[in-house]
Amino acid sequence: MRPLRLRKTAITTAAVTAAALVLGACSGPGGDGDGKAADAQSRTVDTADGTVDVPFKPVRVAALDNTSFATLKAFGVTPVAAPKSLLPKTGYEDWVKDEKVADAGGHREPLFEAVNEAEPGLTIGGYRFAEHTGTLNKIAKTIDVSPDDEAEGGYVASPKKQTRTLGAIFGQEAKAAELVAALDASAEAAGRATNGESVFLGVASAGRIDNGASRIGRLMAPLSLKNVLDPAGQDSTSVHNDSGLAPETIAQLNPDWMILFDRDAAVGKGDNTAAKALVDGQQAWAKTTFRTKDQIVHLAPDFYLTEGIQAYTEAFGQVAGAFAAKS
Amino acid sequence: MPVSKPVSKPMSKPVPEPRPEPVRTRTTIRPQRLPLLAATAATAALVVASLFVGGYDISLRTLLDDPDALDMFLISRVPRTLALILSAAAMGVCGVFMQMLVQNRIVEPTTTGASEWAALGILLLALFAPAAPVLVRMGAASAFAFAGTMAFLGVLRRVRLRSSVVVPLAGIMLGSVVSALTLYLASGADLLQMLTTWRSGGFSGTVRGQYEPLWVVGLIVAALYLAADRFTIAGLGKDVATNLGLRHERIMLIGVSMVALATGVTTIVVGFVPFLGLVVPNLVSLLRGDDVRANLPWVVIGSVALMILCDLIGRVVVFPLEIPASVILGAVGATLFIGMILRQRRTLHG
Repeated sequence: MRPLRLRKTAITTAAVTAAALVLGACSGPGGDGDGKAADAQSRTVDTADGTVDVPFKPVRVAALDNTSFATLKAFGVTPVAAPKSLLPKTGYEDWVKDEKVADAGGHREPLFEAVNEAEPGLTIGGYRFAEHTGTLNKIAKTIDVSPDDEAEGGYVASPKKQTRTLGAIFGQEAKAAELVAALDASAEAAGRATNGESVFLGVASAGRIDNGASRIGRLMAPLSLKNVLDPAGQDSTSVHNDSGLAPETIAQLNPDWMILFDRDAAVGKGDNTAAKALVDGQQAWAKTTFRTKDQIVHLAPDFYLTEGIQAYTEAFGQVAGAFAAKS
Repeated sequence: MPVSKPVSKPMSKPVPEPRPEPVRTRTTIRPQRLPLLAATAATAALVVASLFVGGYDISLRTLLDDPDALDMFLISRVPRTLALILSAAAMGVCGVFMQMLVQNRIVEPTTTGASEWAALGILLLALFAPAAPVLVRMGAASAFAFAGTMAFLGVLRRVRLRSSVVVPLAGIMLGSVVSALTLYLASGADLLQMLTTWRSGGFSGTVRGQYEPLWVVGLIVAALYLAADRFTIAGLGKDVATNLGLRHERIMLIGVSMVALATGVTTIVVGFVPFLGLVVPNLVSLLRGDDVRANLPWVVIGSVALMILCDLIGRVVVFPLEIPASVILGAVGATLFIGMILRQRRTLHG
């Protein structure tokens, strides 16, 4: 069963790739439209699974890693398959409506058949789909270039690397450099605006606010802030994140600021009103500095699903703006 | 004070023996009550510990001197402790009544599937009416818990083989099917994270303005206590109960509704409370026999003590963060449960 399907996949992939290479001259569905023929050249890129040869300017791309969606969009790429349930609510309506974009399912239950039928020439996997890399590789070459906490230079360096790598694959080095520069500028501004204040990194989920350091602690690197729950270091990967935190504990630690990541918004109405009400309704926090001075940064409601270079650029911009306004 | 009667009683007796004549002495405390008083005192000590352990600096002195500490005491500690007491009492007592109604010792709301049904109700509401007020959410959870318990009783009625293992297995199986459906729906709607957070909820977020619905549960416990004798008769089986002039169907319905309501409300406010309704009632009847009404105070005290102990452990071990009480309770409860089953096996096989 498997070898047969594999062979069939390989043949169809080869045929489609060949056809795409010829037709690419006209302007492929995801091409940059400049009329240049996509050449058969390949690029060697550094991925989580070592260096891999990938096709240069692939036309049929399965985009599974949600941290790369915005970058692909910026490059003018429309994927042939994407996990539609993981697309942010706004900004991706065209992908959702486009019937030529197959729904790849969610990371918990990927629709491999749909990805297979979409006949991608390259799959951008990793992140939520990291554990499926093996299966996806049987369908088409799959790379994992998603941001990684273990990456050299820390987490914030890794979306930059991801963007540069994608830029090299799609021949969009200039655009990639632009995105990287924007993140650098934003992070630097946030670093300048912060000045050793204490902060609580919260995550709102199922109507309660918990320690969100494991998810948004990544934001801390360029900032001059002190996490009240982790005074020793900023790179908390404690397994006890999200397991429970009494509001009174935060009242005792009395942080100057709170940065709130709203997971409920990703599945709810998609705005921050519920999380705002949650913070304002917490009687135990009535006398804390962050509440009385209104020093709360609400990350974008779809941060849960974006999390790419643009999302971090925006988040640092928010932090810089909020701190500058209060100083 | 003469200690004329032995304090400990035979390990297990199927029929409640007539109560001994009260021993009138000049003191008002009867010796038989001493163990209960001691247990109450120990539980009260745990309650005090629960009031004074936490992330905010509260001590007797700050309570008197510092208005902020007093505020926090009333906002956070008192509600949390009350929530622990009320939910523990409810789950313990619900366990007793489910065991009576089904005539099986290994059932309680989490093994009859009631909790899983309540979770399904909450998830459906999160899907279709995410902004529903808390009363509606409780109504939905209770209605689903009721439907689930009725479904369980319906299946039970059709099962001919009512061995002590088959009954809870049927409940666990039904619960698993419902739970699978809930997981499937949650996974499709990206609500898994929310479901996990909520299921392992625990008491860390319990503050004033959030625990109050549990008073309803307290009322149910009181009502069940008052009606305990009727349930004891119902527990003798439909024929006996009917012969004794009890409207068996009606008392069953009332019992199931009360248990479902208590389960639904508890599930909404503090999440799953596993094993409590199973372990404590069984331990109590193992030690004291099967007089339901006389056992209820013991069940309540035992449940409250175990619940608070588990919550205190969860509060302390990873301070300032917490481990949900349900996780600790799951570990402690499972150990006690297995120990109990092994003990029963030994008595069965001589």
